[in-house]
Amino acid sequence: MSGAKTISVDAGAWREAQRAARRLAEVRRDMPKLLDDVRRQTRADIDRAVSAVTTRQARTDQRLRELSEHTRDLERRTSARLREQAGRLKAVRAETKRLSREIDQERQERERQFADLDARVTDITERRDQATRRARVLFDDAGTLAAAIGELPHERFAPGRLRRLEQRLAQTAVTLNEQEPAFSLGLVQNLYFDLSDLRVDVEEAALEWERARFEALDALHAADAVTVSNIVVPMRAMDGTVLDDIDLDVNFWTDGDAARLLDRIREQAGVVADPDCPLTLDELRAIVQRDAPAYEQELTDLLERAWTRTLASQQRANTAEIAIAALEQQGYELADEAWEGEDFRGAHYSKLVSLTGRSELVVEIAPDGDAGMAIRVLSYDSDAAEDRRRQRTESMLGSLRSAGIPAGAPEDRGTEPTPEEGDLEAIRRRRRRVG
Amino acid sequence: MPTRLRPLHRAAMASDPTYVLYGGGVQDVFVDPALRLMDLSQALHETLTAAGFARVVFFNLDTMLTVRDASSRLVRGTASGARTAGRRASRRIRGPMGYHQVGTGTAADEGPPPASVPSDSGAPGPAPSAMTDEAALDMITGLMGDESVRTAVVLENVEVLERHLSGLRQLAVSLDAWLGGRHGKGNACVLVFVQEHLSDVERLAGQSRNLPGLLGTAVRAEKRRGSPGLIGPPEEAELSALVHRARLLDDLPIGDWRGLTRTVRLMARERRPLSTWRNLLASLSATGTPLDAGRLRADGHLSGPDLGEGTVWDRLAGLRGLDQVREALEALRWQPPRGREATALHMAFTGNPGTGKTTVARLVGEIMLELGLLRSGHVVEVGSADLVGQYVGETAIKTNRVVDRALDGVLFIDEAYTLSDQADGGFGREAVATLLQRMENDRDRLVVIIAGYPREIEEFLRGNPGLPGRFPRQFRLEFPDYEPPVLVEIARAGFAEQGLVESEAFTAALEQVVTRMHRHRSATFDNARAMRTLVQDTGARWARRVRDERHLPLAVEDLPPEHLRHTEAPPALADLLGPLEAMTGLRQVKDAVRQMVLRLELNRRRERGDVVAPHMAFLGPPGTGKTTVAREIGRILHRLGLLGRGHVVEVGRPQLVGGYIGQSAIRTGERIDEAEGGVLFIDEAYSLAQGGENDFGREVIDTLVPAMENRRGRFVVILAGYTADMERMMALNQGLASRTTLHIEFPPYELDELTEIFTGLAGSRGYTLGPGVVDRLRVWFGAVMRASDFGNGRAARSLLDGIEANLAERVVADPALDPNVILPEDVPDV
Repeated sequence: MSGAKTISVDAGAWREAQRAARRLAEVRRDMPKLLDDVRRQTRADIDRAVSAVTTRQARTDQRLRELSEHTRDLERRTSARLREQAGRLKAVRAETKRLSREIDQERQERERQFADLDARVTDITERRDQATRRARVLFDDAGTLAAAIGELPHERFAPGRLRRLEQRLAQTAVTLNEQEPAFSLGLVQNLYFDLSDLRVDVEEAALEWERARFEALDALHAADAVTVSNIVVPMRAMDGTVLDDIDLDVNFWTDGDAARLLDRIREQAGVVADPDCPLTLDELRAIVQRDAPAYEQELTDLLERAWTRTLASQQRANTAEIAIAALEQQGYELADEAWEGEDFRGAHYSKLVSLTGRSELVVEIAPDGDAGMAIRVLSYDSDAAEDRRRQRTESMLGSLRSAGIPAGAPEDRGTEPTPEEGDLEAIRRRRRRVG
Repeated sequence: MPTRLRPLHRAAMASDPTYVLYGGGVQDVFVDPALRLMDLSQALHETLTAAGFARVVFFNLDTMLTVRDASSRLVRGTASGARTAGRRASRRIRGPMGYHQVGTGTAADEGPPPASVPSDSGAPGPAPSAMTDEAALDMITGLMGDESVRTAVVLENVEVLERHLSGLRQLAVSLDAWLGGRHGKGNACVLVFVQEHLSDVERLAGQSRNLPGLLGTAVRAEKRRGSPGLIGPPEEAELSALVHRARLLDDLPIGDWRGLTRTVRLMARERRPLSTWRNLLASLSATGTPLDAGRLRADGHLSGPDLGEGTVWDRLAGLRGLDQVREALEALRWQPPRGREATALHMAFTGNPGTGKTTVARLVGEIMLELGLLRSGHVVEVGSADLVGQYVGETAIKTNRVVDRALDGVLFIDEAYTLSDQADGGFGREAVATLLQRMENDRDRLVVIIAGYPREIEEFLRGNPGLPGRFPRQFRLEFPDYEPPVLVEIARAGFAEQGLVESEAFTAALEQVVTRMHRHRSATFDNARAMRTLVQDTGARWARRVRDERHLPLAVEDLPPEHLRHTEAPPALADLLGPLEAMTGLRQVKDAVRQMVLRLELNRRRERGDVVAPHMAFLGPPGTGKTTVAREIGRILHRLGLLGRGHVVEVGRPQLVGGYIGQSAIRTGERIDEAEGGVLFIDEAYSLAQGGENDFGREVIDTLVPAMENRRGRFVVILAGYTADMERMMALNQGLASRTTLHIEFPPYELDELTEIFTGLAGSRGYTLGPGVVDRLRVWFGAVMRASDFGNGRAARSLLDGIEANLAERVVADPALDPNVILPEDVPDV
């Protein structure tokens, strides 16, 4: 045996503290300010998204003024419907589905009327010239519509479709030149309708994407707010009562992991917030469905870790108190005490001097993992009687055990403690050991 | 600090190396004047700290060593203190959560921990972390040798330590070295014993294997100091603090605020542990029952006699017929400043039974308490049987125990002189010696009152050389018998208590009877007790007389007849003096007696002055009938109701004078007692005064004179002797002369009277005188009368004896002669 003994402490003893840590680590999300922030942010996002969509639609409408009066009517109604849909970006999905269905129905009706009208024109052969003119006008309208679609993000939401329609448009131009245009009227009509459908599809897909982007952003803002509001929380007792005037700095107790989490959330939010964000609809939906809950879990884990470590640190203080009391019964007096590096996350050291002044003890209570602790007793005796030391240690262990701290049997290090190990001033100056 | 530890505190200021603590209070709890409840350890800590010890170390087998220095004094009355190591919410190591206790569920930040209170069993549960024997002993040795910090080491429950502690040898060696003064001066070792008495501790010390030196020294020091280490039951002040504590903390209702002091005093008189009272008060508080003396008494918590109303001084002033006692006790109030040495306040109460000695003893206790001369003031009443043991050594133990019980109060020893009666073979002397030692050592904590008959007490004090000095003159208090009015009052109170109504005639008769009882009281008259007996007897007679008609008042005839007789009209003068008148001659004597009787009767009729039988001097030569007359006088005075018995105790110098100093007084006293209620007839009394200044006869006279004064009316002294010798003696002893108010001359008999006496004497023996015998007698008497040693009446008897001898010779010679007839030739020649 030597003057330095390490006493392990059964980590299972901290189950209660760990249960408490889990309880205490519950993420706070019911704060009015948090909800307000998220709501305000969301409103701003919607406004931005709606105005972007509206601007684009206005540009399209400007283009479509060049359409013939005949088709203009059809497109104007569709545009009005699409604007209405954009205004309801934040509406629930069922609502948008309904709107989309209404657009389809209305367009089918219009197309039918449109076609009927042209058929009647065709029947009156004496008005062939008139039919020829209709086909040429409609062909021009198709070109206008294709140009308008060209300015929409069609490659993103309907890749290849415009190109194929433009090929048909070129073929149709050849056909109109080679034969009587009046006979090509049906062909031109179909082409126009396909282009018109493409426009609606692109517009709708863009709206859907915007909606998903908004939802992702919303989730990230919420995660941000929750993380921020949980990074410093009021200190609570084991039973949950708030301890006045003390805060728990989660970032401190997780060695900066909390701040890193926040950085990641904000980085992702920055990407999503960009209107030209490269993420696909599925990717955006994954943020809501996968990433945001993951962030929350991560925050919960951090909180639990912070609480666990805080409680463990407090337990080290309590244990030091008990150890001191035990040693006082053996005729020692507390001379000095310090936290390593003056940091609660580190080990605690108490220096006790015997009343007779013939021996000195340093009790180290170091963290062992997040929840456990390891006790070490360093003896500086003038007589270095091994028996006495063993009795002293046993007595202290008895006190600890009676206080509910199941300290294990002492393990002898085999070497005498160095004076530096017991230098509390140096320990105060020392940086916390990593791990 | 609790008041019970003040003696220890005083003693501890003296820087002795050892102190012992023992007594029933060692396992009690304590309340200090600041109303804090504490156990002995904390109380000791406070006391020793106050006495200048900067560090107090407690050592016992439970926790081995607990150190309390001045800076770690406990706050807010937490008595558990450093003894319970485990969960004590200490605030030394600050963690991230402040001083919050993790894992216990109690937050230290939620205000002070509740004041925990030690359980009655003493230790608040053993702390598991006992220091090892070696470590503790090593520590003690180190601390005791350390002169830098003045340290008191308290060894708790020493006998258990002695038995179970291993490695004591090392401690013994170092303590012996320490006691030897080699190092560690100024430190002290306080030994706590659970024993009740120092004698038990002493026995333990005697049997100690490991620490005989230390324990022996400690016991001896304690004896010398006067028991400061005896922790008894709580005193009034501490109980009062307990009551107020219960009132403030537990809302104990107080039934009678004005009587609270008295209630507390009665509680203190019970001498029960404080813990008992604490439990009782707690249960009262819990049930909301108010505290008052009546309820406590009804529930059996108070058993002692009740205290009188008013202050102790009021009650003292109310003592009737005890002026000397009252003055002496009132003088206690105005004592000169106390010097370094406390003055002894031991007292001797002398007087008959029933004169209120016990009552006054209780009052003395209260006065001493009031004046701060005693801290408890309780009275422990004992007799010699409580002090004296049956076998060698038991007496000292018994006596010490009694003194321990009485410490801080009054030890009242009734009939203390019975201790010296046991001188032969008994252990009375040992008891006295033990008592003397404790009276000296504990004189500031103990008042001893010895009580009994005056003469016996005097004798007791004289018989033990150490004693008189312990009982200062001013505290030898005489309790005279109650005067008749007081006795009547007592008797009437007794009747009133029984609900008996007195008729007017009865009241008058009662007064007469009591007055007579008082006048004829014997030396052992038991005053109030006699009245109680009278009341009982009278009550019984009344009950037998009235039977069912219990509304009837008391009548004269209910008084016991032996008392009643004396209230009747005195017997006729002729009847009274008849036998005396029948005596031959003695005209002068008969006249004197007659005059005396008439004068006494006159005084009685006039109801003026004291009607008391006077002491007398019979002056005259021997053989003039003085003894006979004395017997008659005894009878007459008895019939007149002036003497209780009327017998005559006849003594001379040999019966009175002893062989050494003091013996004469004793003998005389014994004779006086014998003559109580009758006549002490001292023949040839002048011989007592003849031996000069150094003669023991003086002692007789010195004893006799005060008795004649003090017991006047209870016995009659008749001094007899030759006229001239007696007159010389009276001239030399004015005290004797002034108290002998009736002088009766007994002149020598005339010739005719002598002849008559002889005739009567002979007749009484059945002789008849033959013719010529008288003439012959006259010749014979005429001749012998002139001799200086003539024996008067006695000469007649001796003459008859001589005649009888001659007659016998004559009748033997001639059996035919009548043996009942005296003839002239039988009368001897001159």
